[in-house]
Amino acid sequence: MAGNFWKSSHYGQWIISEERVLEGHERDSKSLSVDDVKKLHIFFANFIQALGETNKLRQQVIATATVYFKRFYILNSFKSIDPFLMAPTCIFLASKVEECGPIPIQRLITVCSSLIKSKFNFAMTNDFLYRPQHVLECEFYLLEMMDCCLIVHQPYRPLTTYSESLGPEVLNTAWHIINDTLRCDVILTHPPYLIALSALHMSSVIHNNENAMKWFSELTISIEKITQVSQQIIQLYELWRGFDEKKEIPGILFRMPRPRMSHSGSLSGSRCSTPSGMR
Amino acid sequence: MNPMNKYEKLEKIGEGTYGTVFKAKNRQTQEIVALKRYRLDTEDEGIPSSALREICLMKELKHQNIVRLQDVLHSDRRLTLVFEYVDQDLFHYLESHKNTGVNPTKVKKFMYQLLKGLAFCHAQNILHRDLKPQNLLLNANGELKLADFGLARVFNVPLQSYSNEVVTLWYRPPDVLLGNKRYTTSIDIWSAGCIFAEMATCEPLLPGIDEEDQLLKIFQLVGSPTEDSWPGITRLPRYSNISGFPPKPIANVVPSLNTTGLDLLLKHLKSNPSHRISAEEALLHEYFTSS
Repeated sequence: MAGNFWKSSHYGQWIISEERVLEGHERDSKSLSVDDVKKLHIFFANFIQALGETNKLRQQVIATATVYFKRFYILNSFKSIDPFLMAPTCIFLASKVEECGPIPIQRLITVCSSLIKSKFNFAMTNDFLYRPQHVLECEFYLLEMMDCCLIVHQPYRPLTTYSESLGPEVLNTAWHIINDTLRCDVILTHPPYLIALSALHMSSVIHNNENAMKWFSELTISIEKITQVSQQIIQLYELWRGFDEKKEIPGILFRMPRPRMSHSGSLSGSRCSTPSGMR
Repeated sequence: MNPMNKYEKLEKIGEGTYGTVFKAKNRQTQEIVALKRYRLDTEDEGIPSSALREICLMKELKHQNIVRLQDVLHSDRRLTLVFEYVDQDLFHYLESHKNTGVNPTKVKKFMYQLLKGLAFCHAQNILHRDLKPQNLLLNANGELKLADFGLARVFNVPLQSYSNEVVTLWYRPPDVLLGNKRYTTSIDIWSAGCIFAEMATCEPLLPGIDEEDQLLKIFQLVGSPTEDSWPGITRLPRYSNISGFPPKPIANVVPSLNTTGLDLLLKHLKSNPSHRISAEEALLHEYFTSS
C-alpha cells in the first residue's frame, strides 16, 4: 500500500533492530537453534506464497501477509499460536488491508488443508484442524500484536521507480530477488527502498550491466548501506542452498513448541504479547 | 477483564450503517473519548473491511488537524475504535452562528486548519472522500480536526473505479457527478471549497436535491464547462449538455469574503479537476499570508 514511508507506522514503529531480531530467533532456543528458526521462516514463507498463489492473490498481498507473519514470530514464541493457523490468518487479514476483497474464509481453509495434503504433505502427518472461528480469533491477536499497524511498505514500488532507467532484464532479476528476501529478515530491519536498491545492485552485477553500475556510482546513497543489505540476502541464499526442506522440516516442526488445543477447540496458547517499547 | 470496562459510556452521539458512536469516559484517567463501535455481524468476514480501512489509515495519519485514534478494543464479537473526543462539529457550529455569522478571522483559521489536515492526508496518498461540515470537528481551543475516515482510501492502489455513492451530494464535485471514476486529491479540494463558502455565509453553497439538480446548481454558479476548458468532458459517462451558463459573480454569492479569499475559493471550485489548486499550494495563498 502506498503513502509516505518516512511518516508511516512502518518506519515509525516497525523497523526492528537486528539485536531484537536475534532475540526473537533465540526465544525458543530450548528446542530450536537459530538456523532452525530461520529455516522455519523460509518454510512458512513458502507456505504463505503457495496459499496466496492458489487463491490468485497479487504478490503485494502475499508479501504483506509474510511480513505480518514475521512480525508476529519475531516478537512471540511459536508456542503462543500455531504457525499453521497464523499463516492463513495473515493471508486473510492482508487480503482485506490490500483491498482485493476478503477471501471467503471457508475457501481459505479448504485450500490450506489441500495444500497440507499435497505440496506440503512432508510437513504434517495429520489433517488441518482449524475452523473459521479460529482464524477470526487469531485475526484479533495478530491485529493487536501489531498495534494495528497494518500498512506495510514493500520494495516493489521503489523498485519499479528506480529501474525505469535500468532496463527490463535488470528489473526482472531484481524482482525475483525481492520475492526471495521475504524468506529472511531484511524486510523487518531495513527500509524498503534500500532493499530495492540492493536487489537492483545484485541484479546489475549478475547481468554485468555497465550502464547500471554507472547509475549506482552516481547515487547519493552510500554503497556500503546497500551492500550491508546485500550481505544479508547472500546469507539467506547460502542457508537456503544447503536447506533440504522435505528432509529437515519434519524434525524441526517436531521440536517446535506448540500451543495446546483446549477441549472447546478455542485457542489456548499463552497470550501473545504486545511489543513493549514499540507503542 | 472485559476491556470495555475501562470506559464508562455516557451517551450515544451517532449511529450509522457500520454501528454506533458513544461519548464515554476513561475510568482511570477521567478523559472523555468517543467510542465507535463496529458490529461484526457477518460471520465470515471477521473484522469488517470498512473498520480495517479506518484503522489502517488512522494509524498513518497522526496530525494535529486529524482526529486521533487512541485505541482499538475487541470483546464479545464487537470491535471498538477509541477516538479523542471533540466537543462540536462544524455543522452545529455554523447552525448556531446563522444569525451572527462567523467572524472572518475565524473563517480563515478554520480554513487554514482544514487545508493543513488535508495536505497531510494527500501527502500520504490518502483521500478523505467525504468531507462535509459534520465530519469537521471543533474543540474548545478553536482547533479543527478531520474525522470519519470510514470512506477514505489510499488512492494509488491499482483499482480504477470507486463507488459513485461516496461524498455527500452537496459537496460532490462535478467530475464525480458526471461519472468520472478516476479520483484524485482534487475531489477533497472541491468539497473544501464548498465548506469554505459555507463557513463564510453559514448557508450551504450548493444544496442540490438530486444529482441532476446538483450539476445544474454547480454550473449555474461556476459556468458551464466546455471541451476547451475541460478536454474530455463530453466523453464522461453521464455527460449531458448543460451548456450556456455564464459564471456568476462570486462576490455576490459570498459577500463576506475579501478579494483574496474569493480568489482562493474560485481556485477550489474549478469544474475541471486538474485545474483545482492543491492543499499544499492553497496554504501558501495570499489569503493566508496577507493580514
